Amino acid sequence: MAQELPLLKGTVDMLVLKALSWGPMHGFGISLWLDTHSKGSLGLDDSSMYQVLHRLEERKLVSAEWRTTDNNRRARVYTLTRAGRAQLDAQTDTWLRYSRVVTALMTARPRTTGST
Amino acid sequence: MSARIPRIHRDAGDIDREIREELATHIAMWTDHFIARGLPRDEAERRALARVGELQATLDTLSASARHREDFMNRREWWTTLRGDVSFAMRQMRRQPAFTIVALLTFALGIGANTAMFSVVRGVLLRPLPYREPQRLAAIWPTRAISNAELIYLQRNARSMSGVAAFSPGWGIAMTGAGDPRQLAVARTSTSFFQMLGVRPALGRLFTPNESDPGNWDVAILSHALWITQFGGDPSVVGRVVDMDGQPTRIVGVMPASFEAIQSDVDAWLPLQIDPHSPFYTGQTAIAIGRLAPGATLVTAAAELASLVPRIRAAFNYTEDYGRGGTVVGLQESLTGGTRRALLVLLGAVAVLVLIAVANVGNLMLSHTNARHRELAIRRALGASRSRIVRQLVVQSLLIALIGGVLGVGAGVVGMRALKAVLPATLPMLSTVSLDIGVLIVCAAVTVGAGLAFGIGPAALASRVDPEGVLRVSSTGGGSRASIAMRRAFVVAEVALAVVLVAGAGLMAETLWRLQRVDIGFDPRGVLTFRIQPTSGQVSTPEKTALYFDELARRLAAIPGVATVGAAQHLPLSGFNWNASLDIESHPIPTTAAHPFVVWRSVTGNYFETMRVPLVRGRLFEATDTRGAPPVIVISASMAAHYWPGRNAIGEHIRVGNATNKNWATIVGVVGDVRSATADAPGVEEVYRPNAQLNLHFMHFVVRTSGNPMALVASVRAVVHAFDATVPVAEVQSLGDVFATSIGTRRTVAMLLAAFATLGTLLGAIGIYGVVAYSVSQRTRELGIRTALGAIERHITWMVLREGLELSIIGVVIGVCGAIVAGRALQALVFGVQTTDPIILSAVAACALLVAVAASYGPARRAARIDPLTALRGE
Repeated sequence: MAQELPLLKGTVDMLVLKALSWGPMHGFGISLWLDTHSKGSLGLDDSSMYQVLHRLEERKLVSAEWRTTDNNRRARVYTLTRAGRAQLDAQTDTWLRYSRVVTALMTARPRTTGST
Repeated sequence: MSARIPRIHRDAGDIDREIREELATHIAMWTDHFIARGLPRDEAERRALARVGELQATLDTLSASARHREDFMNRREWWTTLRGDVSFAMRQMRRQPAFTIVALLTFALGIGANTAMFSVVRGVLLRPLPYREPQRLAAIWPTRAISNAELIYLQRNARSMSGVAAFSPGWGIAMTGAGDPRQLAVARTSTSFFQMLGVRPALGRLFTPNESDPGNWDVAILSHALWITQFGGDPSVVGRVVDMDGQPTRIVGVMPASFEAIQSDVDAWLPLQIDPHSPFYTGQTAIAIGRLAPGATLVTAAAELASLVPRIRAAFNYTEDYGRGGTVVGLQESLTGGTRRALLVLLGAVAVLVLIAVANVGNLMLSHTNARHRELAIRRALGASRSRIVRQLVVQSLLIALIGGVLGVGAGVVGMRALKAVLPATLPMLSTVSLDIGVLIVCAAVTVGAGLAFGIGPAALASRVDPEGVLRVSSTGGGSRASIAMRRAFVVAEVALAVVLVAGAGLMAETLWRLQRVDIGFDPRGVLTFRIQPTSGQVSTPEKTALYFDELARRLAAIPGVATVGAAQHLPLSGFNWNASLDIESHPIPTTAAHPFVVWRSVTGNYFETMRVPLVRGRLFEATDTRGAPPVIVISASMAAHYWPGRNAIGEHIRVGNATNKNWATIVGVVGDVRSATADAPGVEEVYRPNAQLNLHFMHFVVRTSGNPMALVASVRAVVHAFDATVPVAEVQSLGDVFATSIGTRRTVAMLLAAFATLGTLLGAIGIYGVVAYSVSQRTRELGIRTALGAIERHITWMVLREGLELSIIGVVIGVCGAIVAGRALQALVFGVQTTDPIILSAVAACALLVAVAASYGPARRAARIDPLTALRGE
């Protein structure tokens, strides 16, 4: 397992929305998706993920309903709402531009100035 | 979530359960996942559990934030529901316009009366006077006047006062040299007066400390109103010289429009004329006010003044009773003293009126909810909770209260204007009365309180419907035992409260009736009065003065329709007396004894005939009683009886006002007593002197006519103008108006109480009518059966009437008891009648019962005419 990365504030919301952009999912599905695609490198525990899910639900970015799964378990299934999708698009865009700029800055070589 | 579909409420238990279930599924799925990846079950479970961290902590965190969200949602939903309730209530009200209009008007009436009355009470009694630190201002010896000598003494010696000022009201001064000659209402003040109050002029300056000194005192400060009317608001007025009583006087300042102090209708302020060598130096004409020094209180100031009294008495040779009863009271209390009681009584009456309105609207609400009985039952049956229904009904009553309240405040503004016109203009600060934020706050509080008061009871009752019962039995609904009891209670309360109001109005009406029939000792009907104060050189000598007034009286008497003409320096019933000390030659008074005082009048012309003051014995004044002739005097019957009981006072020698009259005067006649200062106090000991021997420069003329005295005004003005074009004809009014003004406060109280009582009775009648009519409509079936079984019309009528009567009798009994208790507040206002007067109380009770019968009669007749067939089929 790769070393865990500290999570930047607000990124979990974005990641959860991204997970749901593939289709309705229950908490386990989202958790598995994050785990699989980050190869376990995100230090995100499931408890925090549920808090984020519930908060997104309150803000009407996702909606939730109880469904019965294939193997007859009652699970709460979350769906991205129209507002949630718009939020995801906006956040993705911001994130990409932001990370490009920061990456460029952080990888720039120090310029040599006139010698003393 | 839509506002239309009610959200299912989740309590804390539901929330916990859901979270637990969601987490359980989560763990189970991870366990399945790990098992599928080939881990043994216990290892899979361990890993799955590890994913959610410490299980209990996770649960707690999640449910805490969930509950927080739930609260938020509930709050938002509460508002949404409220919006729904309001629009529902609005629909209900639109659907029943009669109910809505009557309820709104009733309530608006109550709130309107309350708004008007309370704004007056607040402006006059409650709002601090508009001066610097008004609570530190005090009236010194509020019941009597002080002299210039005392003023100076107090200014120098009173340590408990950081300042003492004097205000001498009621000077009539003729102003010439600025437009038409005009009689001004002037007050003389000590030079420090304005500075002590802490006020500033709008223009120019205030008095300087030396402007009470001889030679400096010809300066004046104008009121804003005079500045506008007489000088057209010209700012260059400061520095201008006008003639005041023939004396060139410089205008030094103009006060702002809002300024008012002690006397409400002052045109200009002049400095007190303080001359230690003048015989008037010790004459007591001014009201003293002071500013309490730091650390001093009204009590310590009063104590200090008491300690100064003996020294002042000795210094200025005042009589033994000097300073008796002298106190120090707060300025505001002193200014409002006389009318405080009247205003509070009226405010109380308004409160009663509001209560009646509340009871009435409460009753209407009950009828309204009863009419909606079936609808409410259906809603209960469909699952609406009791509190939900109560809330909706309370929202509706609050809505009525709020709309009614807003209408009422609007009506109150109109009422307040009317009140300001009706109340005696002498009320301090009446002109500043307005609808301010304080009044609005009180009105809002009363409105909401009243809305709850008339809303909660009916709502709670209405929500007690038994859904199944109502739906099963297809009755006309309503009329639960409790709601009938509540209606009856409302009606009893309304009747009782109305009786209290009517009793108060009755007492005041009786008071007015008595006052108008009291023998005041003169006949005010058919007499015109006005004040003449010549300024020209025509009164430069005593002989000229006598001639002036004699000639004017002669010319006035020649006006067609004029019967007789006379004059006196001061007319009776103007609220105060001119007093002077009395000496009797045959009864020397020891210097240590209290010196007696008498009221005196200086008269000329046919004063006694014009006033119709009867001559009891001796003679009246004659043309021969001139300045050179021996001094003569006429006394009142009660004075003759007091000093010469059983003997003849004619020929006795007395002296009045020892400061200015050294000569003994001979009593030549005795006349009937007159009520001198006020109509409610019996005639006092009084003396009359011929003005030819006293030489006063101003007179109030009395002109008797057979017709309407006010019809004479034009010809009187013409005659005076032809005689002396420089003299203003001031204070023109009928003697009847002088009398009316003297009982003005009582008349106002009587008038307003009568108005409130009428409204209260009307509301009470509506209440009785409502209850009886409702009960008839509820009993249509029963009454129909009775008729079918042969009951006589008369019996049914009586049966219904009796219902209204029974309630009224209970109300009347309670109301009469209330009236006896409330009557105590009227004690100081009634005259010639006890507040427990059995005749008035019985009359009020009888009236109330009559109104009750009248209000029940319509429904009773309707009940008697019920057609049994229709009634029975009507189900």
